[in-house]
Amino acid sequence: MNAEVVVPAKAPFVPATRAGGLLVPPRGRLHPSFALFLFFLTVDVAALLFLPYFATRWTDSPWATADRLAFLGKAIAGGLAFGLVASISAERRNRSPWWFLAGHVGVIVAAFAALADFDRASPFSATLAVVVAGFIGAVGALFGSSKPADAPKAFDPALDAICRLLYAWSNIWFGILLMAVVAIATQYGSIHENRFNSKAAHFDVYRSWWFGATWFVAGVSMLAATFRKWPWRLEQTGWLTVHTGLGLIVIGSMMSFFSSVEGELALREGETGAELELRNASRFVVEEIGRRDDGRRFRRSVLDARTRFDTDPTEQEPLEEFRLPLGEDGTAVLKVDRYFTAARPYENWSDDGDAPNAGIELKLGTPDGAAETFRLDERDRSSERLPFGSREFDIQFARLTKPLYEAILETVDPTGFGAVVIKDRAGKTVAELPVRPESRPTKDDGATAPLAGSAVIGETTVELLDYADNAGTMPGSTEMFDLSPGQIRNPSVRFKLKQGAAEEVRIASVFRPAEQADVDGWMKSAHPYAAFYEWRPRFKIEGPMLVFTPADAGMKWLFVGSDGKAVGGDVLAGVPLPLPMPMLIATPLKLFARAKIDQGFEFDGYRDGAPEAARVTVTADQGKPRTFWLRRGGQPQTFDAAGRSFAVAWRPERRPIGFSLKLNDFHRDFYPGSVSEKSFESYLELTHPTKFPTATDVKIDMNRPLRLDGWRLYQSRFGNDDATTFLQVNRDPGLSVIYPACCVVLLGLMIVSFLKKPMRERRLALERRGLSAARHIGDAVLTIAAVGAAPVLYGLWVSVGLPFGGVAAFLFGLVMVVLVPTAVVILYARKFGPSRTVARPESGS
Amino acid sequence: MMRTLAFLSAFAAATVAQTVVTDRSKLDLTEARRIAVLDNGRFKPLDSYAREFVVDMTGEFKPTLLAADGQELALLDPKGKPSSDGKPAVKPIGKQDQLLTYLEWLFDAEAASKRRNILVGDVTLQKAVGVAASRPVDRFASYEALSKNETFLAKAAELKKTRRDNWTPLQTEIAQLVSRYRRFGFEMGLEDGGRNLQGPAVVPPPGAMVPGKKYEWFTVGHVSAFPEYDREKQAAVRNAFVRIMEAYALTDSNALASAAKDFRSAIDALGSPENRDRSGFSREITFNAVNPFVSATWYYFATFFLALVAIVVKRRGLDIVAALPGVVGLAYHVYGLNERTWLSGRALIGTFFESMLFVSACTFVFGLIFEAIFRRRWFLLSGAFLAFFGLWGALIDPHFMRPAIGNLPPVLINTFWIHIHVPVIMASYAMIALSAMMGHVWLVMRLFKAERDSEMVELSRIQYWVLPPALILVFAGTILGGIWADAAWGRFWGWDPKEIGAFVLMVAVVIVVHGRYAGWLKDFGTAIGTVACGFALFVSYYGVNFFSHGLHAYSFTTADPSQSFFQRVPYWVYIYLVGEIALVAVAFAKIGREKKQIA
Repeated sequence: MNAEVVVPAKAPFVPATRAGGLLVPPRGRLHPSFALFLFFLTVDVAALLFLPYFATRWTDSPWATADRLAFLGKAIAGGLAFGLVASISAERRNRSPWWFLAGHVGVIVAAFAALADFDRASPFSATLAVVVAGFIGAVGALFGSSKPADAPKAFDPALDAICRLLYAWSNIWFGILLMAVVAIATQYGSIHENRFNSKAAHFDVYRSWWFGATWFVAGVSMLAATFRKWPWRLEQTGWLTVHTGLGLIVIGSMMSFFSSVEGELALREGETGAELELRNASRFVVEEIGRRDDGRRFRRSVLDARTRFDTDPTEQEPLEEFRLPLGEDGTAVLKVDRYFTAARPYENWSDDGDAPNAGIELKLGTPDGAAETFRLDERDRSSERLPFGSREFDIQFARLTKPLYEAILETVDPTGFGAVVIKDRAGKTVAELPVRPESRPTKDDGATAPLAGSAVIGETTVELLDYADNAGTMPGSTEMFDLSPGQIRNPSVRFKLKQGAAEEVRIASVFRPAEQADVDGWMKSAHPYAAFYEWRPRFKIEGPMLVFTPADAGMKWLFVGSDGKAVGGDVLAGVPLPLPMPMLIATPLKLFARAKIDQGFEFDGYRDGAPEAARVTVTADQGKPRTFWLRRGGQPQTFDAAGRSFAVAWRPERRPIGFSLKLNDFHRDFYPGSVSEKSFESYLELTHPTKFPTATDVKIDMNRPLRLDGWRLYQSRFGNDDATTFLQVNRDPGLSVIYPACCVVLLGLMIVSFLKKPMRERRLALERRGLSAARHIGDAVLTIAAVGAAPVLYGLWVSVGLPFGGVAAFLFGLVMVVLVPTAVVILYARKFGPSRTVARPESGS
Repeated sequence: MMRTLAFLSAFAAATVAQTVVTDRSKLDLTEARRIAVLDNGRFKPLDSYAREFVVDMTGEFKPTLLAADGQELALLDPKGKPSSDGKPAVKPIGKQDQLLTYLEWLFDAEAASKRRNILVGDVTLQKAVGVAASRPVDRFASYEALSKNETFLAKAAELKKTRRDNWTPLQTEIAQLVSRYRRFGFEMGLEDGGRNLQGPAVVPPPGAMVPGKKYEWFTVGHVSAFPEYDREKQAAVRNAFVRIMEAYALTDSNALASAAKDFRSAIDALGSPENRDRSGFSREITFNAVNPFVSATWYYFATFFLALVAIVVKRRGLDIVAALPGVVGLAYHVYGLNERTWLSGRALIGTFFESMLFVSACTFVFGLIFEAIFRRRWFLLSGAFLAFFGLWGALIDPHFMRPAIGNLPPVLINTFWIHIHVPVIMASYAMIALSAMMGHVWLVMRLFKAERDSEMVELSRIQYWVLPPALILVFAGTILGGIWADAAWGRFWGWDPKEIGAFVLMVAVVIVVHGRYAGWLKDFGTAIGTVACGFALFVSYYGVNFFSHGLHAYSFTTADPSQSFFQRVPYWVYIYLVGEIALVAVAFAKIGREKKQIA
């Protein structure tokens, strides 16, 4: 089949012979069509995928989106295929292999379409334009080179250089070196992960440009080595199949690299979710909080940007600035100057705060020596809830008025309702109006109990109006409601002051005596008196609860047991509280009057799963800089700038999945007689706009994911409350290529290992009979099919769903994947194999 | 019961001082072995429970029982001559049945608390917990000694202050010691002044298992805690148990057998819905008694030794003789694998120990297959050696290997693919190990034989042929691992250290295959390549456990985050590496000298 061609003597690089229909290139050069194919593969991938992806992946630029990369990837594949067809057809007519460029024109069109954002505006038209351009280019090349030249031309310098380069690239030594480099780089990633954490390994190694480039260079080397062997022979079927499969794996891996999405969906029981939180992408979100002119509150987003500072977990002091324009008031700058991939919160308490803020440091322990220290204050951390036996135990720090404190300690039910006492500036009683509600409301409709009684003090007449057990008022109004008749929470009396024609309504409350005394005008001007509602009611609260409250001098404590009985006393540092519970020892260690809490985060190694934290300093034009910490996915922090209020949060990037899931129940199963878990199960309600318009029950448990719309949702972990499930959500379009590619590689490995020699015999036999190339190809295809049919069938069965499971499925797999192909190989080898020349062992000597 | 305990304590006090104990080896334990226990996720016979407990405490399958002074316990020897000062003759107690040991501890707890029954660990650990580390017997300590050891108690208390993730390897070891100490104390009722005998969980609760709820059985003492059970039936359980104790104390074989039988009937009579048929227990007890893996180990060794002889003698008949013990060993091995699979109700995919059982069987099977094809004895030798070495490695240190049948983590349950992935990847490990072994054989042989020697030529021809099937298996195994990972936790490839280990191993094999194809690797190069693949296999299979992260890191990992990678690697790994390099260097020197002579 090799045809001699006439070669002009003057051209040093002119190929002389053809093999397999293509020119045999001069020594040291790859065939020009293949060389151009690989050269443009490299250039296209570098220019259109790698560079834009790595340049924009931490921004909101559309270049890094999966859709665009997929569009470009498809355009590159099409351009290369059309180019190869054009180049080979031209080369076979002794025309220039550079006709490749005509077929490749679709890639240029795609690049311009992407630059003009046409691919996003109209994906179908853009794809069509690319395909049509490639097709026209290829057809143009066929026509343009339709008239065969007499002899091939010499390579121009550029083509010659490309052919030499790709030839060198195909060198097996270079290939082995690349394989070693890939192995070392991968192992380095593992060591890097061990030193830091998995996020660091992904950022620094597995998703780095150099790692991707190493794999790509190795992949091109493998393809070049494959092309170098042209024309392929029948016995090369095995490794050609292997290399084809590996090439497909590289393509699938690139698809995964550029377009896979991985995140998590957390749901509490009863919650519904339709968005996943991406694992490795976050946003910095600033919202303005304020009131409109009509008094209604509003929140509006003023900044929403992808973060970059958290991409490298090994970097602890990044510097990323977010600028927040404030109109005429200049700009607020939010500077992230520290980032911890695994952070541990810390707190420093001191007693030198700017404002009064009482607090306590308390050691809670049990008689067997176990103890824990808590800190509480009235402003920032006013309560703690601790597990206590089978129930919970509250510790609170609250500013209680003296009457309220006493009312909680009171053990005797009150008789009567006390009296409103009017005192002068010196504290001397000038009048006493007994409170005697005539009829008390029974319904919970806000009605109060009317009162009678009045007194005249100087020119002022005081007239009692009504009484409420739990008084509530509206701002700016003198109306009073009883919020819970029968439950004494805020006993109050409303009264009217009259002076001539002027009238004024006021309220006196038992538990808030100071409020009356402070009312302006009452003491200072017209009425130089104060009214106090004096009574000793009981105030019942549910225990167990320990309450601390600042008192005139020092601090007081109050303990309410489960039975509702209350005890209390003064708090002294270092002296255990005489609690009526022998199992609990509470010792105040330190008392604060002006507690200041300095909160922050410190670096906690490189543990996976620990919270991430970043420190932000906000500087507005003239204001004092304010520094605070943010947790990824945690609560927002507020700051003021130019008289406006803002809330800033650092959130995982979210992405809708196109359907919603509601968690009905989550539970764990345990192995009998142990505390080790056997399974985690989430029972969910799935709603999909088209596929499941009415809610459908689904169960996701370990190893049984939900697959829908290309998304896969797996049971990944659960919350400490045993009622929160974390579903890992991902989408990996590359797998649709990788799985079949792996089967192709395996198939090839079987053929290359066991059928090489018999296939060589087969080729020699076919050549002796002078059969056509098509017959060789047919034999190769049939061999692959014979060895691969059973495994492929099995794969199909498994993906569709085997009608049986367990041992039967395993045995069926064993037969289909191992025994049938082995039988085929043995039969084939017997039929076409060489005469067996394996030396028999010597029989003793 | 209390009376019996008091009686036993008095009896114990009499024996401890002399470290001579009653010979109970003739006791009929057949019935007692069959008592059902629910422990760690599995209903098992008391026989298995006792074995696992003894291994857990002592770190040995059959420990030597030591008195407080470190001397082996003794039995009266009726046949021996009394000593000159009139003391009766004694003989060492030897390795006794584990159930007997367990019962001795349980029913004679006060004495047991004074004997060295608890494994402390190596010298570093002994020193760390303040145990005198001057004699080999200091590997073990008594419960009482540990209870009085202030350093140990302080170290135990210290553990609570540090988060488990941040424990150093030493702290992890101390935590394991504390766990052994606590378990011994709890089980034998020593925690509460010796008044509170616990024993195994043999009493089922009245209710059935409910999904999502923890389910456990209780010790004999708890039978009265269930008002649902008839009082008479409760009493029957207690009485039968007391009779077991008495029969044991009096060394009454028949009484023990009948009391154990009555105890089982009494438990059945309670009528718990979960006290199901335990007919499989006899199969498990037989499996325990046969101990197939230990037998297989020595049969493989016999084949290895005979194959060596056959290589020297070169007689065809001897080849078959050499292979025979290995085949018997393989029969034991397969029986063991089958029984263990049946008992655990799952494939052997849970622990490093189980994987070693499987890999060692594969090495011998592959060795036999290649031997059948090539008939050169090298494969028989290599397969037998690897199978012996693998099983020996799995069984040598039960404290480290944890041979008890454990629970599978949820991620490994119910997946079709894990049952295909693990056998395939393990088979590939076996194949690569065989290939590496052939590389070693080639290198060693080359030290003694010239290149053109007919035997050397043959060896050179066949040594490479293990690698192509190994490549198929390692590729298939890795891909199947990806498919399983995709099914189990949602991604095909996650750059997990184990995945990377498998990938690097695959690349190593691919490099050797390509090197051979390109003519870069001749025979010597191929031998070095396969030896290097062996090291890559070691790193992938075992070395991953040096990493603290990763989904495949087996439970025994004690990686210290504060240590560098190189500090974390055990010293013997360096010895192995240096040994390999030395072997290659010596062979290289020999070949170089030969070439010089030829030149």
